[in-house]
Formats: sequence, structure tokens, C-alpha cells
Amino acid sequence: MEKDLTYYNELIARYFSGETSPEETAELSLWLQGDESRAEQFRALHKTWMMLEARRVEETIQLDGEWERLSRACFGDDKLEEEAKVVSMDTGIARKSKTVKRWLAIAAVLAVLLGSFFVIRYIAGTSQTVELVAGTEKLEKVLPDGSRLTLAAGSGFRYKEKFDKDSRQVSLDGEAYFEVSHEADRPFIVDAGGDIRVEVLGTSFYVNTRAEGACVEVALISGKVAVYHQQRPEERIILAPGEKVCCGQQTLPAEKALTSDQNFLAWKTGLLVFNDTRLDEVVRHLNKTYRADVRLADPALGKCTITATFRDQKLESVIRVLTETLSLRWKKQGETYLISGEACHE
Amino acid sequence: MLFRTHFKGMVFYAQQYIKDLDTAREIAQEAFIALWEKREQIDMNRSVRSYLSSSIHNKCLNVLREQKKFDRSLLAFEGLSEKAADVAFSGEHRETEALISAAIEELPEKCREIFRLSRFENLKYQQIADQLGISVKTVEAQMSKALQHMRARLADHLPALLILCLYHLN
Repeated sequence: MEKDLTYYNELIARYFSGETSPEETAELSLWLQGDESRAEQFRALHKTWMMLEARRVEETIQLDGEWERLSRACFGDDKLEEEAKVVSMDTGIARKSKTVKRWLAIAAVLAVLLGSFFVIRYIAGTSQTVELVAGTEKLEKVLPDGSRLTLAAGSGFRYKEKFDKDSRQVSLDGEAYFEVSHEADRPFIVDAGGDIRVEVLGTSFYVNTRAEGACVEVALISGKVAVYHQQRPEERIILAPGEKVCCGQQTLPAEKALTSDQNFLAWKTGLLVFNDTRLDEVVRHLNKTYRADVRLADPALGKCTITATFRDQKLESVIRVLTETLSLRWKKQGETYLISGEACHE
Repeated sequence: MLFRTHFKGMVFYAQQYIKDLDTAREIAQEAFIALWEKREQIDMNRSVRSYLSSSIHNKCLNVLREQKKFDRSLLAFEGLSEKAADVAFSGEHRETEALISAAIEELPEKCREIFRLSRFENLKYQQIADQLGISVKTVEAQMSKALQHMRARLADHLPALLILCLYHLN
């Protein structure tokens, strides 16, 4: 028995409302085919509906809210964009500032990078001290004060089960990302090895005590942090969102710079972004992020550049994409990935 | 500004495929994020719009495929185009807007309420039925009725819209 027109009109309305099942969608499609008057009817209803939808989009989409959402995704924070604009005016390098703006924004963090030889010097009491060690996977933990910790694989972290009344002292050997709950009268202080301290005044941040250059790098997106030597707390440097600083054991916190690289957080976010990045740089990031051993057969290959974004990819698929894009070859020998091929021309 | 000029149009474009406003918004957001990420490679003045719309087109088809609702011939019947999206947001449609409002007002009360809940409160048929204590069947019938009414009332203005589309295509 043929279904009547009312049925199909309802089906059409339901289809436009997004309420049809795959089978019904197919049924509608079939009904329309080969019958011009039905198709005509459908098209007229479709146009009507689209006028209604246009009005609906016009009325219900809040551009300010959407823009905020987008900036959060692209820049990390609205305010950062403002700051980045100021930066670009200062330097007057428009092109560059664009890149800066992006990097700036994405790092809502504090990165503290220190030489791998540092040993944690932990001051805390004996029995209450909790020691965390992340094995091959990152480790997430809520601290007693409600702050959140993400500890990178292979990193160690210590804290007192009960924080002191006047400060929240923790110590780190390796990499971690923190979201610190705000307590104005109880600063959150990270012992980053030696006497380097990172004092947090309520924000999210990232710490790595094992980066290259034997320095503590701190990059910030929102909130406020201070970096200083315990012996010279008055010579602290306070960071604003989007800024980073490098602090060695013997040197004062150096000049502030703008964060230019979001990939240092890749182990947490699963996101690696390369923008015209040299292959040797890419390999360095891969080795760090995946704790892997990727090598270039010929250092000249390092000159090749690549632009790509990887989200939660396995190392092998990243390597496959890289090598295919650059027409290179790769092979796995034991735990080592070896990339070889013709070096790129400029 | 690029975003303000294009965002609603792009949501509308996605909505034509997806028929779910929240998903359409997400897709438009993703397209803008992708645009942002690739901004170095794109000639911002020339191809930004075609970049956005082709990225939305592709994303939408993927979503439809996932939902198993991808049907090429049905899409062809709908004749979707981002040009239409432009037209709808060119600001030349103040009169038709008033007309739409009037047409909605003319709907019988119950029908209008159902239509409003579906279109402006973004509720699913089932949610409307629950809220009003009626059957889904009734919601379906009333929505269809509302659409028929709208078509009758707006029919005169459809050619105008179409002509505008063609104008913009050239």
C-alpha cells in the first residue's frame, strides 16, 4: 500500500528537523527520485525551511560567545590576544607577531626545565610525604588542596599529605603540568631542584626539571607566577600570561621572552603542531614527547621543513606521515627509528 | 572582521547538511580553527571563504556518513550552496524576516508552540512531546502543518531569494 502525501510531508519536515533515521532518510531519497512533482514539492519546502533556518541561526548564534570559544581554542585565552596585539605593535613585525600570538596563547602553563642531573631536595616531614612516580604513562592526581597535577611519564613528584598552614610546598623531578587552586594566603611553591623555586599565585602551569640547557623554563598562559632563587627571593621575576623565562642554577632569572612553542605540552595534550619546522627540530620533539629514539641517517635531512598537526597519534604513524610527505624512508631497528633519504633542497 | 562576517553564514551552511544546530556550530568552529592553523598557507583575501566552505562541506559529509545519513541524491535535491548562506546573511532580508515572524504568528496556538520549541528552543520531537504531554506523532503532524503553512505564506518571496542567489553566483 502506497503511503499517502501526509506521510511524506511529515517525513520531509522530520528530515529537515534532523529527526529521521538513516532508513527513513534513504526512503525519502527514493521517494523523490524520478518524480519531478515530488522533487518540486520538496524543493519548495526546502527553501521555505532554509529561510526559517537562516533566521534561526541569525537569532540564536551569539557571535561574542562563539568568538570567545574560538579564541580559547586558538589562542588559549582572550586576554592573550590583547597582549599579543600590543606585542605586535611594539615589535612592528606583523608576520612574526602572528606566530608569536598563537604560541603565546596556547601555553596556559608554566614550564620549568632543569638539567636531568638534579636530585630532588625535599624538605618535608617524614611519614606524611607522598612520592609519586609516573612510569611509562602520564599520571593524573588531585592534590590535598584540590590542585590538579599531571605528571609526565618518567617524572617524580613529592608532596606532603597535609600541606602546611602558610604554604603548599611540593617538589618535582621531571615534567609536570599543574592547575593550582587559588589560595591567596597559602602560596603553592614548587621546588624545582637546587634552590630554584616557582611560586604560584593561583593558576595553571607546567614544570619540567629535565630539559635541555640546564635551565628552568617557565611559560604562562593565565594567572601569575614568580620564579626566584630561594636564597634571593627578592630578585624574583614575575611572569605575565604568554611569557616564559629561563632560570639556571647559578644565574638570575633571565630576560623574559614570549613562548614560541606549544609542543612542550604535547605529552599532556597529545597535540603536536609543526609549522614550517625543521626536521631535526621535529625529531627532537618526537623523542621528547614519545620518549623514543628517532634518528636521522644524515644530518642534512634536518634541513627539510614540515608543516603538520598530529593529535593523539602513535609515533609510527607520525613518522609515516613525515617520511611520506618529505619522500623519505624509515625503518625500525630495535627501539630506534631511522629516517633516511635524499636531503631536501632549499 | 573575518569571523563576524562569515561565522553565521558558515553555521547556516553546515546546518543545511547537518540539521542540528549544535553540531553545525561545532563544525563551523572547527573550520575556523583549521583556518587559523593553516593561516600561513592561505591567501587570506582571496580564498578564505572558499577555504571555509569547502572545509565545512567536507566535515559535514563526514558527519553525515558517520550518521549513515549521507545520501548524494537527497543532497542534490536540496541544492545546497554556500552562496545561499551568503544571501541569507547579506542583511537584505529585513522584510522577509518580518514576513516570517508574521507567518509564525498566524499559526494556530498549539502548532506555533510546537514549532517554537522545535526551532527556537532547539528541542527534539521527543522532548517536545514529553514537555507538552502529547505524542511524538502529534508533534510530527504539527511540524509538517507548520511547514506547509510557512511555505504557503512565503511562497511569493521564494523567487526573490532565488534570484538573489543567482545574482550572487555571477
